Amino acid sequence: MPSPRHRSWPTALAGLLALGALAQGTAPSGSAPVPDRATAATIRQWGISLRDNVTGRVQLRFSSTEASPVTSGKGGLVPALWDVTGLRLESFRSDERSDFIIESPSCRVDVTTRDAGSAGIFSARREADGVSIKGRGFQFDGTEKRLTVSNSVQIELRTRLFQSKPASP
Amino acid sequence: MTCRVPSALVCMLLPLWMTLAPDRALAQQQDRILLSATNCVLELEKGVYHLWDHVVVEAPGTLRITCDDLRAALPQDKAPGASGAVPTGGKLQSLVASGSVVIELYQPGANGSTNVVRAFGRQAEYGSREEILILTGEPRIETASGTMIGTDALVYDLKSRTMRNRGPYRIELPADILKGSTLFNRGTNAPKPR
Repeated sequence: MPSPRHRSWPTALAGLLALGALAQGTAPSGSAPVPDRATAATIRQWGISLRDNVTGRVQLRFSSTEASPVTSGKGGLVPALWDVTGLRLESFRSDERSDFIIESPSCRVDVTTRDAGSAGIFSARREADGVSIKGRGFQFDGTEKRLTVSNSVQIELRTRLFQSKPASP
Repeated sequence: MTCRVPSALVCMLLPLWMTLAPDRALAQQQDRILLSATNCVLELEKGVYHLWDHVVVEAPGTLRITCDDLRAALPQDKAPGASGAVPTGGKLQSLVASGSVVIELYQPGANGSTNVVRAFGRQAEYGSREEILILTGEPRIETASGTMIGTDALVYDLKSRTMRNRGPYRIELPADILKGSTLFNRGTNAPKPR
């Protein structure tokens, strides 16, 4: 039996879908309005960790306050595509130390391609060197660790262009 | 229970705090570089940033660059015993600004004032090793006292805050700079017109 550390992402995805089914089964009943299909599948405190297929180390961790599977035009669910609220996406370096953290109030996540994107605002930061990024409209490519911003990007680097000139006597 | 701080101690420390606080605030302000633009692609792991459209680079108190396109590199070190990269304190390694480049250099002037020197060109490059900024592409500098043009490149040393040029140059001075000078307004012994 493979250790949980070396579990591949399809295994994690299967676990996630099972969690979705569980959420569906535990939906509140009673006098509440009957939820439609998408609402029924909404998961609170949704999260998934995606690991490197070779090393088994965590590369990305998606978590959110709420997530719903995306429905296709025919009413069916699109596999691995989620609309999430309150996203926190953490990318990890090869030694599993935290690298960038991206936060977005609302965005779409594709756990197969490891992408996330939104037309709305977002912020990103790296604690190690204090780099922070803000903007509106982003696309994150989790495989290449590439962040594309389409509007009003602001980046703050905690550094200076030159060393201070010594004070003259 | 209240704690009373001796007023003599306050009197001693207050001037010291008043001296240090603005310096600390200024230092904190200078310890950051702000980049803004309409669009960008950031290679987070490689530390390569590409920004375009209405790009502004600001090093508070030092300089401000506006341009059409900017490529910046923040070096990444190899993690010990790992294949991946790790950030190296956010230190900016290089910066290439291109397209309608305008650089505003802020230099301390007399009586606490700030002098602004504006430089224009097609491309500016910054390298962290030499800590210099090289402006090329028909560069010119505009100051309150004149314009310097016709040189191949302008090199601004960020450490010493000095500017030098490469190649020949021409300086254009405003006409009124000679106002009051007798250089072109000397007395003559020619007969006065009647």
